[in-house]
Amino acid sequence: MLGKLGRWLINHVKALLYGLGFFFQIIRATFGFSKNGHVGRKVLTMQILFTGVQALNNISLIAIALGAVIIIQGVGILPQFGQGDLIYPILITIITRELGPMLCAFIIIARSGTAITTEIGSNVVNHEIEAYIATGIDPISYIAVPRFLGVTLSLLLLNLYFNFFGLIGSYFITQFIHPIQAAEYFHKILYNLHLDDIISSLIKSLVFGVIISIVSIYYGFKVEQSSTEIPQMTIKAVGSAFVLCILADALIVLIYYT
Amino acid sequence: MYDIYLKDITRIKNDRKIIDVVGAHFPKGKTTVVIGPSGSGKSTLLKVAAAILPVDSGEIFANDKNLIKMSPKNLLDFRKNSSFVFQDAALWSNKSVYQNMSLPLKQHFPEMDDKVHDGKITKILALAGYTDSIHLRPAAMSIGERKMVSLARALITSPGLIYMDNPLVLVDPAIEKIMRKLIIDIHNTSATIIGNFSSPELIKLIADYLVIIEDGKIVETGTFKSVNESKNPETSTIINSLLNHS
Amino acid sequence: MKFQIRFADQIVGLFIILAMLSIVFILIMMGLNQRWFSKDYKFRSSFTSGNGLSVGMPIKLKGFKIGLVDEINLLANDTVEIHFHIFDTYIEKVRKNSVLEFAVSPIGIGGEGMLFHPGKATELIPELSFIPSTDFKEGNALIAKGLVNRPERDDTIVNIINDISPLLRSTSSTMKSLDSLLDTTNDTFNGQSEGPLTDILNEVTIMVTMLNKTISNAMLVVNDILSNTYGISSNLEITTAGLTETKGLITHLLDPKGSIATLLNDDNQLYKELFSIVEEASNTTKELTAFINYINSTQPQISELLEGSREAIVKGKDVLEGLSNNPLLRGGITSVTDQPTTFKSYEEEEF
Repeated sequence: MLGKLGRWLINHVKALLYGLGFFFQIIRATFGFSKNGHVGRKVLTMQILFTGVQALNNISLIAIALGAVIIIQGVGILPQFGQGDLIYPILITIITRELGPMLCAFIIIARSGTAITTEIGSNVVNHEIEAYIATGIDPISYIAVPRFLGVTLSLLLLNLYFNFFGLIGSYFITQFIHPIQAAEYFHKILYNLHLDDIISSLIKSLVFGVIISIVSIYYGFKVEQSSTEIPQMTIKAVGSAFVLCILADALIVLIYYT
Repeated sequence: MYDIYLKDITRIKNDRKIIDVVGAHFPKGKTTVVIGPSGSGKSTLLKVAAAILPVDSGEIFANDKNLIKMSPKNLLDFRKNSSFVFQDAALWSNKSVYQNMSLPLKQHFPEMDDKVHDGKITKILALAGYTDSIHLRPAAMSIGERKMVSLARALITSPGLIYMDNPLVLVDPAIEKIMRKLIIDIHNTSATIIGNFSSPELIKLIADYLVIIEDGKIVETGTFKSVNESKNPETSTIINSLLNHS
Repeated sequence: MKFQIRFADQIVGLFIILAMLSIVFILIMMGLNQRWFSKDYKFRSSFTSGNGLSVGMPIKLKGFKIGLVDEINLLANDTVEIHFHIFDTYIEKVRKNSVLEFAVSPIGIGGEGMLFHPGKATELIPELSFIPSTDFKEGNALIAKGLVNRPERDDTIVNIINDISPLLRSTSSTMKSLDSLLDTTNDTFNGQSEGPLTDILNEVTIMVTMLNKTISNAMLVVNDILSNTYGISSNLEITTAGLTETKGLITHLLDPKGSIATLLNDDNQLYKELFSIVEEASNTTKELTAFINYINSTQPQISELLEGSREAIVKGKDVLEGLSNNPLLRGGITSVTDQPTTFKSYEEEEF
């Protein structure tokens, strides 16, 4: 019993250390990427295309709808107790600080996180990774780093688009249902939006991007021989990414707002 | 051109030594063929000798330089002058034939002129007998075609050392004929070949040296002639079942 | 799909550039809205207490936010020093003799905060100088000299409370004078003072006029209490006014413009007027005689009357003080005025 527990603990600490080592290896390779990334740049572009550009329609739709829902609910309820202007801080808190980075992260986990784990997993099974090594191409800097950079950068950019659509796009949708003076709305949004909110939002999406990419790549490389391992690892990657993102969010909020 | 020597190599998987080699020598400019029953660790030995798979202990010398402790720059130089033909082709599935051929060139010869680059790809593909579109993805190709491209990819950087892990298995006879001829041609140059072949005729034709392996352990090494005439009962059993059965 | 892959570089570039432009645009708009790029002019001031002061508190001029409080420090001499800045758009308001006032709303909610009263001079105050506050003599002196452009408050309750304060001050000073007058009067009638009676009466008149002024200001509130005193004191005033007016009558008669012709040609107007004046003078003389007699006979009663009016004023002062101090009374006033608007706003609300 004790031995079992000990072995379980040792295995988990080993896995954690391995994961951390993996993370630092990727970070180190990232710094060398711009120097010797002549073959990796195309992979980075493609990763941003798949992760960022192709998710843009989903993200913008969700952002506009969410923003509009908050405004409509807010202007219906808040003035009843004389706090009509509270709609702006609420909108900013939800869109910019909390749900913006989080929803973008969830969409990216579902879209790109799974894709990365599956792709790398099948690369491993088909010995494509070994082929890269044999060709002298470091799989970390050629496969991991562009995906790491691509996902992180895409999430950061998608979060900016989410904010843009959520705060500005939603206004135009609201006009059909509950008109608000444009000058008043934009003045108050810009007045209530603080640099702190934007910075914390960007920090969050940066951290989420790092978590999602590292976790997905890690589980992708964890596939060893058989193609049946691929879906198993994908499920693990999705689960871990979700949990780590939410924990990181709580940690950032704790550090930032206390 | 490289002279490869494995010293005290072990590779452990699930608490079992799948490779346990005290010493194995693959001489420069010669063709060394690894022979052993299936599951004996031929592919793994080849990958370990190419420093593709990590080892748990031991040293791999390429011209007296340890590949495991080599600087990244020197290792890249070794990669530039060596290549590996995989048993399952291992073409990069998200790349077209052209891109599969182009990537090693871009990696090792980034300054190469586009015309020279494209000309080289066309020439090598033709040499390997590939006639289909160069824009096909591996998924759209037959296994024979994939192995053809895989061999071509291994030759694109004109390496002095080629590892060949069963390049002719599962290949249809027409393609096999072309590829076999190419392999013999390579054997006739000054290149070093470290191979694992299943065809006894081809082995007899090209093997200068033999390495007999069983359960991850080297049973016997030596020139084709000395091993073939070995008195070692294990060696002769393996030789008889694999080389001289027909 | 093919299109996206062929133009991947361009599409990804556009994707990045648009995001960057949008964040830059939002940052610029935020900066303009939140005045990141404007220069702020720093100043200092001091207050007796830091109570209610806070960092980031707006400094207002006629309801406009013209600056913010940056720093509050308690100094060694127990005064509170504040550092604040004025936005560059309002810097021309910071003129010489400007005064800072920390106004607290008596109702307790929606405090008025830090008010800036620009000086009437045209010369600007250099940055980092000291601007006096109404907590100290320096600031009040500037206001008293009329050098400060200090607007009337528009809050009714604040106005009442503010008006009561000087009223209270003048009431107390009136009472002090009244006390001393009372002493003097008593002394006179007791033969201890050598001053003539007219002097005393004049003093009484001045006092009563002051009293009248004071009382009429407070009349709205303390009408009932003071009505008695008012009646008596107005009588006194008329009497003494008549006494001094006799001199005016003579000068009027001796006026070169008041010729006989005018007297004859104006349809007896002047005559009638003259007659009424003479008549009034005679009445006044009679009243004065009666008054002197009355005074002579009822000297103790005058003392009593004056004492009575003093007590009435004390009561009036109490009422005023009660009004300015009693929080319940203020609360009452607020709720009474606010009630109907609340109901109205609920009725207007769309559900």
